[in-house]
Amino acid sequence: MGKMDKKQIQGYLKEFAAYCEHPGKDETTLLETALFLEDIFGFLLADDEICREMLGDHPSIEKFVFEKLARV
Amino acid sequence: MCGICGIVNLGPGDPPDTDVLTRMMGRLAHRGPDSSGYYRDRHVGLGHTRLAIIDLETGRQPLSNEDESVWVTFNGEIFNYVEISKELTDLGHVFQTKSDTEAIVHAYEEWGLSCFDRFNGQWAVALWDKADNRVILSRDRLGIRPLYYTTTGNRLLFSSEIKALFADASVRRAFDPKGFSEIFTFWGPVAPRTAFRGIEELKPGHAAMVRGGKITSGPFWKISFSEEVPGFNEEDSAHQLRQHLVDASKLRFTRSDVPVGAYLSGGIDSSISSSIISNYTDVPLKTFSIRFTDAEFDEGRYQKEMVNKLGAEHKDIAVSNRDIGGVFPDVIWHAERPILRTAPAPLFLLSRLVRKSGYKVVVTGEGADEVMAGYDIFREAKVREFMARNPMSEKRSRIVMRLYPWMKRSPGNVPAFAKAFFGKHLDPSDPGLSHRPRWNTTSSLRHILNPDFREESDKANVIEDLLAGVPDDFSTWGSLLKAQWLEMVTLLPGYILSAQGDRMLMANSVEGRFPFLDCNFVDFAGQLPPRYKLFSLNEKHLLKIAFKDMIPESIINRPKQPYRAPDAASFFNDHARHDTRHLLWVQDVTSDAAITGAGVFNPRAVRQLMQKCRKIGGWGMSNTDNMKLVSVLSTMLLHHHYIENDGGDGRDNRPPGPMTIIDMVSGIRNEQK
Repeated sequence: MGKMDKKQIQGYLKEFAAYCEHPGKDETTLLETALFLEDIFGFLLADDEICREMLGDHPSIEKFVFEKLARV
Repeated sequence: MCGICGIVNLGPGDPPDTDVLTRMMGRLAHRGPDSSGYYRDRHVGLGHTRLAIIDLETGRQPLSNEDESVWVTFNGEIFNYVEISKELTDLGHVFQTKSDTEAIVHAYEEWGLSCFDRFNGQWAVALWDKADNRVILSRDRLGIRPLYYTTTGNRLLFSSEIKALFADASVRRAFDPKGFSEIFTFWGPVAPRTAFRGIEELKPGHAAMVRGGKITSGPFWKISFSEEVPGFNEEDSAHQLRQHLVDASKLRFTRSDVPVGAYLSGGIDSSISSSIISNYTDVPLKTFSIRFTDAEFDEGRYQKEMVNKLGAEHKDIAVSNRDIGGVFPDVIWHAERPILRTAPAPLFLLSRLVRKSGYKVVVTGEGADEVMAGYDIFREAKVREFMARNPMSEKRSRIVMRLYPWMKRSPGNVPAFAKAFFGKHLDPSDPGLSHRPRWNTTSSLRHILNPDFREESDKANVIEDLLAGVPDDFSTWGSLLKAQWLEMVTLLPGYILSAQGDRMLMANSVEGRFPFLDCNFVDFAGQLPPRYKLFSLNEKHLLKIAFKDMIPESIINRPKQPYRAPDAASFFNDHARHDTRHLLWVQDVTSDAAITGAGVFNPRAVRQLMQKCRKIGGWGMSNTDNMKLVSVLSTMLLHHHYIENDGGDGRDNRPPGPMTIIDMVSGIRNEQK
């Protein structure tokens, strides 16, 4: 996948938010969130990033994704 | 829907033998009980048995073009024949009938072999082009309708079913260990291979040409996919998907001169196709379902919910383990291949109910799992890749809890096992990565083969052969698209559409129609971003969005449950677990003498397996043991029907009347109107 612009990234995250209301609901939902983010954005999450603090709600996810993409 | 067959001389010789041709037609009587017919000249014989669905009055076959230079025998439906016929009429073609069959003849005249690109349908067809002195065989894009052929002496024989080829006593009847190798890997043979030596099946989406004694074939269509590209919008895509599926479903319900029913499984796919009819047409809806007396397999609750919502007139059949065991020999006669699960048997019983209810066409949800990524194998592959991306992770393996929630013994409940099982064969460069666990599990069944048969079977490198034939751009696809392709060229034609589909429907003279396999829908779905099919771990994501207003939430959101039936437990008395007396054939086909005589299985291994089954009554057996038992029983029944006996199943093998005869050799011309 080529480089994404901000609108595209937000579009993907909006779709995910519509699919998964509570990404921090439990451990397997957090893992599924991580799986989705890796699939779409192509980066790898470390174990300590798969946590409620980073992925527990949608604003946190958006912040996490933009920061992660800025680093890779 | 019908049965087709034929004899083509590959060189100089006597005209095709009408005794053989009519015997072949007789073996296809279940596919077309309404009438029959044949055309013969010095080079070619074309046979047909008819299930009359479109143009009941004048649609009999074989039929020809205006000057009788092109003849056709055809099984299936060209759903867009109305539009094609109009185009051809505008181009000057003169139609004698209102059938889709005649559209094929004129389309071939006008466009040659490229006519198949224009057909939206499901077909197996043979065209005899006298002017070009060639016979064309063609099969629909995804393999909905079957077409087999073989050569004997200086003749090519072709037919909808293998049993009709065996009506010619000169055709050798022997198992092909390489075909078994495919079945014991992919669950079904992959065309051109079959379970029988020397019998080939035309590949889906292919046309073959027989001319000058030579047979050549090539594709007219290929499965194609697009990767993630920007610009797709979920709402717009859902809207388009809905429109494609509405068009496909309406076409399949309305292009018929007899009433069309629908299967309702309780899952999302058949609920959608039935709902479309209810919402978009004024066709009265009649639905049919399978219930199971064993609650583990029953989906009655969801079926009832959907029937209530649709207000459909509904019938169901409650299938017991004993019912499955009782019809299994018939099921195998029709399936013409070993099967590893009993799931086709209830479908045989369901089509019997449909036929007894006065229906001969049903629409079903087949194909949605392949086209919109509904199967667990796609979710499993995604989970395995997620684990593989960081094998040292302490957390990742716990995602297996999301897999197989419907299983009594879900691997997610045993994390250590799941990590070990799903963590194997994760080489990212392996094009078969998604399917390795299934292929390896299925291949383990070969341990019960007789060593000689197994040695022959193992000579076929079936996985390598399959992967050597992947499309040129396969390596550029993501993992989901690769997995979809593998599923659409193995399990879909070799098992789902054949052993579970065409054969179980046509056994009772019922035609199946599949909106999810409409060519426009398949092409559209192939161009969707993969995430719209499998979104995270949510299967058929866009389909659910597109139809959320029509389908109850309880069905949309229920965990995907594959269609299954009781296996080993079907062959042992429900009440007296150690007694198989009600199924004497089980004892017959698994006796030491029978097993040794067939030479396929190791007698000792079969004896041990049978002892185990008797001991526990077939209940609670492992996945592998269930498949072993069903594969032994089905193979031995196949041997009984087709190797020991001639494949006629003791039936009278007479073609159904009235029979149309157009015989250019004898001069008899008895065209039924």
